[in-house]
Amino acid sequence: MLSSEDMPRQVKSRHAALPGDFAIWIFIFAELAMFGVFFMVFAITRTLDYRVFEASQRTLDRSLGAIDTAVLITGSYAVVRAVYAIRRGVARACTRWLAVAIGLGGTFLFLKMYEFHQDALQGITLSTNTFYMFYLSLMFLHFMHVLMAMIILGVVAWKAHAGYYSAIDHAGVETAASFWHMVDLIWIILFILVYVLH
Amino acid sequence: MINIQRHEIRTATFVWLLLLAFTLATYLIATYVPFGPAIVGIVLGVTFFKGRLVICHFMGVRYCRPVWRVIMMAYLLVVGSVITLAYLAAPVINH
Repeated sequence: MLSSEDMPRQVKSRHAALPGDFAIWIFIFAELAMFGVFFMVFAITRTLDYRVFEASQRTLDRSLGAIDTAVLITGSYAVVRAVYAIRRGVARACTRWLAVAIGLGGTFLFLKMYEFHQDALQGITLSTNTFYMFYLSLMFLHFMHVLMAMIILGVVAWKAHAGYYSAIDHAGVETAASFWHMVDLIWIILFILVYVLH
Repeated sequence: MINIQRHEIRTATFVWLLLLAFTLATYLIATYVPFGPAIVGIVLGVTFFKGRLVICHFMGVRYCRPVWRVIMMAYLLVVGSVITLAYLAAPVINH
């Protein structure tokens, strides 16, 4: 049992504000709402075009989807470690963990590009059927978000390396981390919706 | 101070491993178990829990004002419920 001295510092300040810059949270809520509508429309459209969705879903590589998920979740863990490092004022470890997350983001993008390439080889396009229209649109939209998150993490990693952040002032790292976790959260739902449920 | 760091890192590592285990479990279910209403419910329940872990532990929302947690959980619940209903209704509608 931890004493009150040992509890994480946030516990002491319960009812604290959201981590990072509040503006990013407005963006996060807007993005979650947009993806949420997409997910619900996907599921409802599937009820109307059930057989096409089932047959098309069978062509996807579920193993790759699971590997994508593991890669993004591990990236999220690296981002969490980066935040913990900068809270301790260890900028070097923060930069290192952010570099790991960027590397994993790159791995995710590489795997997605491989999947897109395989789809293109099979002649699959947005107009192939309703399932692929949703699948390719959602995947590409998410792909662009991962890319954006990697760019943000890259800028923050550079700033951490240059000594812009400290144990007291590190809102930039928390802001970037919140955006990355949002991208991870969207993928967790996307993985289940597109690759798992049938 | 060192105890605080260890506690935080240990919790994050446990959550990460739990998320990986849940991902593997849903993958195995999707691959080897015939889908029915119960399995759809289990898979979406696990996904809700995974989402909750990311929101509360990775995003750090568990330390924020309760209203933010409620908003995020409501999001998962609404999206998850619509998906569940749509997936359960699909075979019936198309029978």
